[in-house]
Amino acid sequence: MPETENVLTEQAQPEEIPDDDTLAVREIPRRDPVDRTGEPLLSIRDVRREIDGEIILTDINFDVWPGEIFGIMGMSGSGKTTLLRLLIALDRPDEGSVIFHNEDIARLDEDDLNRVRKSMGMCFQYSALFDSMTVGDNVSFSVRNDRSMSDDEKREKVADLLAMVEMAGTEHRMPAELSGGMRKRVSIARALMDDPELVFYDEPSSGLDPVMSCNISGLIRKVSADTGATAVIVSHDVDNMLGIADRILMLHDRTTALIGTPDEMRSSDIPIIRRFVHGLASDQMTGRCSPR
Amino acid sequence: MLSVLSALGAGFLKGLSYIGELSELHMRTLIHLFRGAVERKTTIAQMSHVGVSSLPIVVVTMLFSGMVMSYHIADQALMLGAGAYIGWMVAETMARELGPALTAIVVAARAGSSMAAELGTMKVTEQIDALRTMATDPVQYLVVPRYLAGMIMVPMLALIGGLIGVLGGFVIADTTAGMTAAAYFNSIRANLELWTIAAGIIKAVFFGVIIAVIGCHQGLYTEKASEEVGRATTRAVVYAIMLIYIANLALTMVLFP
Repeated sequence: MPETENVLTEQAQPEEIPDDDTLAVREIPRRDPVDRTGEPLLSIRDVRREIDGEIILTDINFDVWPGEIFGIMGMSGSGKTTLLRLLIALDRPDEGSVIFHNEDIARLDEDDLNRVRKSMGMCFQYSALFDSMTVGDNVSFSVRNDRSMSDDEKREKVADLLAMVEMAGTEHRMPAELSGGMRKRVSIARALMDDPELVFYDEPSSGLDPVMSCNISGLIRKVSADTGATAVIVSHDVDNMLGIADRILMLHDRTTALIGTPDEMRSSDIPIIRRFVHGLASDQMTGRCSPR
Repeated sequence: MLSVLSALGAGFLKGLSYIGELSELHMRTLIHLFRGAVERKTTIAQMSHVGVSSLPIVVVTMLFSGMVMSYHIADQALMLGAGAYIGWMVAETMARELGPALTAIVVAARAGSSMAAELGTMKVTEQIDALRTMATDPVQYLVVPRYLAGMIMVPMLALIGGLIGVLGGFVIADTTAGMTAAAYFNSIRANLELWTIAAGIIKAVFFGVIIAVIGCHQGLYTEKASEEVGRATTRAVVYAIMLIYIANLALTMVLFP
């Protein structure tokens, strides 16, 4: 595993951390509509991806505007995670373009991609924290060699980000000591360390109980509001997605079934959307989290 | 018949593909090294893991190997009237072959397996992808430190191991053949050439690189399933040991023409 990096945790003072189970269900704040008249931040054009001769995605087209919370939904195996990997250039499409700031990142080499990735953050499904590093070193990883920041500035920023995700004072703790929800929150703090314009969330509610899942959804919206970062969320958690996303893309049969607002999703006549939105979700499971 | 040919062809292509992947990984590692993109703290930690932590098992292995070798050599040498050369024969064998090769095999089993397991676990838990999303090349952050650790620490371990083996050889030469310390070490000083020691160190450098590249490759190319980590670990040790033996022959023929 990567070794413990630096002394960022030295001055951290342990604080009382709210336990996942005792956190109150968070009311997700409503948002003003996002302005979609300007240049999109991210544009996907005619994307097609095959793996081992099997078509996983085809004819995918959509735009994401600055400040937007954009959801990608679909059944298990519908290609959501494959699409997310294409968006952050962990994988490349066989055809089509992934345009970020007017640059097709699907055609960039690794050095140029690393420049682009400085403007992006990613929260993985199972957090992907570095096991052998403290929470503080995990969060500060992307700036470990940044000489434009002093150690004190790095420490301060780590503390601020951990406070933002309600994990203040945990810099010295190891990932193994944290619950699933706490790890998710640390991974959100880590994704924000470079002040990204665009943050990707892969199944943020996966493996969490409904209360914690609701809290994470609220946190994503809070983080977007506080930082102004655009968010792309991949999830099959219908209730949470309808509760926090400005627009949602529904993947079905390897392509786009519908792109619309949560209200448009709820009122859609497309059978697969109706089945997914009305048939699989249950308000009883998520309480106040997602008024539908 | 057709299926046999097909299986042979598939195996051949798989082998070529494996060699290609190893070469690419090695090349990318060298490019980072030439650019000076070295994570110092991680490299020092890896040198400690590969070198310091492997020292006890290397010492035990080489001590007893030196003793066994001395026991056999002493018996034969005394019969042939060449007892005065026991020290030199033990030292020559240690410097040429046993020091580098045995040390490399011990390090491959201990550190090479651990490299594959660590990197494989990181791959399965998406930590490698996390590195990439944070604009960090996994080869630069994970492979370069292990490559340097293997390249620097295996020769040092081989040198220390060789010395321990020679000392172990003396204990046996003293107790079984009644050889004095002066006679034992004088025969080494008079006959062992500096080039023999240097060639052994050169061999160990190559073996260290083989251990690191194969261990890291197996880890980075682990399939995303937890049982694959165990398989990758086993493959890392088996492939490294096989390649060490093959490289040992090639290097011996080049260095001792």
